[in-house]
Amino acid sequence: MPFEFTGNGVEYFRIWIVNVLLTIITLGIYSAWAKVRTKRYFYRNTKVNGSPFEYHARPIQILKGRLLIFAGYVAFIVVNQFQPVIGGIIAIIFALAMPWLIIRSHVFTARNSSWRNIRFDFNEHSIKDAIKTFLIVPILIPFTLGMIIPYLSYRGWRFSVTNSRVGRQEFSFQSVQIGAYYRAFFAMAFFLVVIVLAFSGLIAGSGLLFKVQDFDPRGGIALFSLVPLFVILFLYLIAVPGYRVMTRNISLNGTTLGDHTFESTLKVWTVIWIYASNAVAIVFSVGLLTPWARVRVSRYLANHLVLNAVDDLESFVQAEQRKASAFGEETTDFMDIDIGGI
Amino acid sequence: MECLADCYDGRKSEKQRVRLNFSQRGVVTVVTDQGERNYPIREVVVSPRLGGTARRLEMPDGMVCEVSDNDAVDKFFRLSGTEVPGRLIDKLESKLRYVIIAVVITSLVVWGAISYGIPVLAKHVAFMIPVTVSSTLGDDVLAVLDQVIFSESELGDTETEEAKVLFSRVTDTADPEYRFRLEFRQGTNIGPNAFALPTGTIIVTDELVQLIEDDHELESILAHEVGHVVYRHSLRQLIQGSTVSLVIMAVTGDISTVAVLAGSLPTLLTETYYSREFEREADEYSYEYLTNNGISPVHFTNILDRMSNSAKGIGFLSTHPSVDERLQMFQSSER
Repeated sequence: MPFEFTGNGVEYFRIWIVNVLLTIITLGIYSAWAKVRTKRYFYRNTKVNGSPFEYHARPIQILKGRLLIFAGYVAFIVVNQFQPVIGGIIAIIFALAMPWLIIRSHVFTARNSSWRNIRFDFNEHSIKDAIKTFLIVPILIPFTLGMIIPYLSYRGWRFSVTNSRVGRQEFSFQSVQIGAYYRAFFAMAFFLVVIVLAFSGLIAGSGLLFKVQDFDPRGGIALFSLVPLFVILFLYLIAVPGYRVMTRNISLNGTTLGDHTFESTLKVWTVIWIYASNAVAIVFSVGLLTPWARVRVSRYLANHLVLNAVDDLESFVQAEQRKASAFGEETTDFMDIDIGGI
Repeated sequence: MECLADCYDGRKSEKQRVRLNFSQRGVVTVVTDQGERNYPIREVVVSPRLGGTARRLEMPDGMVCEVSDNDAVDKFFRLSGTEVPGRLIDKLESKLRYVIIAVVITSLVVWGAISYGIPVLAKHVAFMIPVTVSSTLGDDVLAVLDQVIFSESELGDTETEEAKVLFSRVTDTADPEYRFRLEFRQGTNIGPNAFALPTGTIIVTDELVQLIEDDHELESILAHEVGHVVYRHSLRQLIQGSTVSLVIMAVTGDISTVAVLAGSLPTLLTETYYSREFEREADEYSYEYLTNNGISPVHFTNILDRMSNSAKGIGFLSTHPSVDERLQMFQSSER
């Protein structure tokens, strides 16, 4: 059975513009309420087997978290200005705490999500896996000249999937081959190299033409200095989103929930087209088409995800509801950092 | 009053189609195949209306009923005298006129913040930062510029000495906090041009010096550059630029890496706008210096004219107000 998205741009536009206005008027305080309202809109309009998802976080939790993060950030800026050494130490501590932060964030999102009144949850005791995945492997990136990135993608997805559950039913990550991630990585790397070489060739060719015409070699050199710009542009416009789409397909196709399996059929070029045209639309509408762009992405993602269910999905059983302590709740809220994306 | 609902008991992910019965006495009855259950309305938590999405009625025993008929729910709760949360927000969202008002106010606020609020804020912040902090940047910048753009000056000693005398005359009236210094470089690609670094170092290209026909012309350019330093334009540009991208990120949200790229275009536009404002301020500084010292402002317009006629002077002019505009300002204030 396919996932479906039933939201529409006009309806979300109304919600979005009121959110923006109230956030401005309240100097940012309302942003926590705005976030919950937005999340709820997208959760409730995402349905599988006719039933929507629900987002449960309370705005006041998110507001507290945001104020804490903001205060911490301002304090860090000030300390860094006058005591750069201490500032550096704080930054290192923060980086070392990253695996823990990521777990808290997953826990927060999972426990505040439900489907058919059954809550999701995330395994809190995954710190060993998190340290390896988000601390040790990333450190190796420069030493392996980036060749470890596909392995990192694999670990990251495996971490998110295998530690999640809905009710008592755990998600698992089966028959996923690391080789598939490497194929995606090299496909995009190859594409990037080809397109950059083609562009350099084009520029060199036109540079020669210019030279013949007005004997100014400087023009050609100026054009060549644009090559790094094109590399960055193609990297962000095509290679990175393309790689992410491919790894998402690979990972979700290997995800199982009990006997149910998933099927993700995103097309690389369609996603790139959606992103690029969204960006153009947002710029030329001075931001007013942002809601339409978001709805468009959500609809595409939902329409290309299928849950191959073996039954009516009626057998998920509620797990014991975790009542996080006040302190635990504070920390999970504080960690309300969005991770990931496609 | 009755309506249909999807019901989930909270123990299993089973979906049950049920009938909800709202009674006059403020009781909600859930009618299932197995029987009926009654809940006092005061104990039922109803979710605020959110677009056309189904309403959630959370019962005290953990059961949840989803009702797609939003109006029926509102009507019943109103009749039983129970307040439904979030009515105001929904009113704002659902009435077209409020949405239009929201668009207008938001646009005005964002426009006002970008053209007035942020520059004023940045000015205050920039002048709160001690000179020593902002000056650590400067010398590294010059080292980089020397590698990338400039080559060594080929001016004679007499020319540079004369310029330095003029320079000390200009800087004498400026704030002694800054350590002003004059440097000469060959501009090659960028032609006749002058730059100010936040440290107080001012760089003049050989090409510009060769274009000078009257000492007062160089003086007026130097005063313009000193104006940039005294008004702390580079620091303000930095603060304004980062604040604008923050605002854009907050409004559009980050939906993809591409959107971040898209966000940089408006940032670029506002930066051009800001730097034009800075040029105006620096022009005013130069104008004041000239008139205070009994020099005719026409010298500044003369050298600007000649720079714009020199084909290579692109860098200086693209981020600046058009020469015509500036000439106009100077001429109108001469009267």
